[in-house]
Formats: sequence, C-alpha cells, structure tokens
Amino acid sequence: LGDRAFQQLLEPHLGAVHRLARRLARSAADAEDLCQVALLRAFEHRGELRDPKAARAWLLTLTRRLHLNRIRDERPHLTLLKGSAEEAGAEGPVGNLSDELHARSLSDETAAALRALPEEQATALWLREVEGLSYEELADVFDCPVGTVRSRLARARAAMLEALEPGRRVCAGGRR
Amino acid sequence: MTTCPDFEALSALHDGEAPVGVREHVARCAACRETCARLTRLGDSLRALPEAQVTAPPSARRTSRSRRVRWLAPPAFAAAAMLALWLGTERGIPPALANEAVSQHLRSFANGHACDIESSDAGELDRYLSERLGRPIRIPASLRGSLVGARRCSLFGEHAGAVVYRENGVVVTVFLPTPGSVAARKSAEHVGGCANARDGQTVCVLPGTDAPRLAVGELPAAELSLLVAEN
Repeated sequence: LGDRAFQQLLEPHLGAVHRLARRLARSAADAEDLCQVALLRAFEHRGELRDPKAARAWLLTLTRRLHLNRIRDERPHLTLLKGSAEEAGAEGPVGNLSDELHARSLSDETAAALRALPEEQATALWLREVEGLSYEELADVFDCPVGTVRSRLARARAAMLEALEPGRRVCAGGRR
Repeated sequence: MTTCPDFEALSALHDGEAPVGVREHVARCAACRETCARLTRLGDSLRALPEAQVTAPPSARRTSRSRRVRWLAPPAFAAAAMLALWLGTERGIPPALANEAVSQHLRSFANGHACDIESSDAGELDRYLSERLGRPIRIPASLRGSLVGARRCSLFGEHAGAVVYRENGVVVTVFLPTPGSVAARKSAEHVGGCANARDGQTVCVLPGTDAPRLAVGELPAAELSLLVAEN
C-alpha cells in the first residue's frame, strides 16, 4: 500500500485507537502519546498487515501491545501531578443538574468497575461492547482461541454486574 | 433446552454468538431474559463511558464561553499529524520548527479543543490572550478568512498565543510566540519561509510586530502566507 492508501485504510479506525488508548493510559497526555507512537509503529510495520480487512484489529493489537510493553518497562516511580485542583476538575454540569450528577455517578461506578477488572478482561469487554469487535477479531487481538474470548467476556461481565449490582446473583440463568 | 444455560452462554447470546437452543430457551424463561436485560444495560453503560471519561486538557478549559470546535474529526488530524512527522518534507524552515508548529496545530484537534474561546471579535480575543499570557496581545487581522477563536498554548515548552481562522472551510492556526522565546528566535531567522508536508500541511513564518508568527494549515503556501495582516 502507498502512503496515502495506508492512511486512508487507518483513518476509519483512529477513533477506536484513541478511545482504547484513553482507557488504557493513565492520563490524556499519555493516551495521546500512545496513539502517536502506535500510528508511527503502524507505518513502520505496515508490511505486516496481510489483510486490509483486518486493519482495525491489527491497529488495536498494536496499540495494546505498546501499552503493555510500556507498563512492563516502567519501574515504580512517583508521579508529580501538576496543575491546580481547579484545572484538574471536570467542566461544570450543564442542563438538568440532578440528571447530570446522576449520570456522572453511574458512569463513575461503571468506569471504576471496569478498571477493577484484569486488563485482558477489561480490554476484551471494551473492544466488544464499545468498538464492536467480533469474537474472531478479539481472538486476533489477544492471540487466543475464540473459546477463550467467549469465556473471558463472560467473566468480565459477571464481575462487572457483581460490582455494579451488589447482592444480585449473576447466574440468574443458571437454574437447573 | 429445558434447563437454563450458563452465564457464559447468555453472554454469548448477548453478542449474537449463542450456541444452538439458547435463544429459544431465553424466549420462554423470565429469569434468563432478566439476565439478558442486565447484560444489555451493562453494554449501554459501557458505551456511555467514552464521552464521560474523556478529560479536556487544562489549557483547553474555560468557563461559560468555552465551546468545542468540531469541524474536523480528531482521528483524521491524528493521521495527518503522523504523516506529517513520518513523511516530513519540510523545506524553507527548520524541520524542528515546522514539526513543533504542526504538532501543536493538530494536537488541539486531536484533543477536540481548537479554541479556549470562540469569537469573531478581535478585541475580545485580544483581551483574552493578553490576560492569559500576561502581555499585551493584538491578534493579526484576517485578510482572507474569518476569525474563529483563540487559545493559549505552548511552543517548545514556552507559552504562546494561538489564533484560529477559517479560510474556505480550512482551519488555520496562527501562533504568536512570546518575544525572546525559542520559537520566536528560531522563526526570526526564517521570516517569509514556508514548509510543506506531503499530506498538505503547510507552515509559514510570517512577519509580526513584536515577534514573527507561525501559520499552519492545509493551504498552499501562497495562500497561507497572505491569510493575515502584518499588524
């Protein structure tokens, strides 16, 4: 593929890369950096993309591996958080304050539950529910059999439901 | 299927990957339907997360007047940024200067915030940037395009002003480096020079009153260099 053709092939999937990076990375700046490095790596290794139809899974795989490699390479360190609390805060709510706060609370709980999952489960669930990857694409991303994808998604969902709806069993369909 | 399937089968059904017989069972079983409904709600809440989780960078936040500029999709700009860096064919001005300008231009779109303040009122933007940068700023008058807004940004780690214009649907950023800054010093040696990248991004160093300016956009150099007035 030529430069322009390769760019056009990747463009539809850059939003997915950005969202995945935003979920994996610790900050917006780290996510932006991860995106840029992932795209640079994609250009460097474009010859490894055998099937253009698999571009999305290939790009997401590359992004995730970069992230995991960075985590492995990182040594424990303290992070200095720059900026004031005002800078770090969210934008003010707009519209109906009650609805806004309620929605924010729900999303915070969901985000916290997702972060509590093992990385493989969280990423698999994210890529399935948010990005709509098929089981086959997920198997490519994780380099595992489709059956593993299926069980990994189920474990992720069970853990999420238990975290979000404590006290309710997740095996409601398991009566014998 | 007379007994209820396990949770993994219901999870697969939610994904449209159900084993044979599961769908028929769920149609008859209230408990399984309830589990499926919970899985649907979980999916909905996950899909609602991306917008809720994205945090705007501090420099992009402003109070009531702040609005996001969304005419250009961030992914396309991310790709353009990558290509500009990857393919970089700068000429006429130093690659480091061109890359920094292109990077800062595109970064705002990748973040979804091109402007801290949107206004076509030059006086209002003068006041905003002067307040944020701690020095009197007079933004360049637009000769060809329309004024969109402004933001505070950084070039080589030092504060600078950024004014956003639109010319025939193309968004252009004109950076106003702080006099004496690295960007200003590097630019001073190349006033009138332009750099082109293969994907169409162009950077031009324009003359300014107290320091040169850097214009960046997907316009031919001849058009970009005539976008704003010198004073």
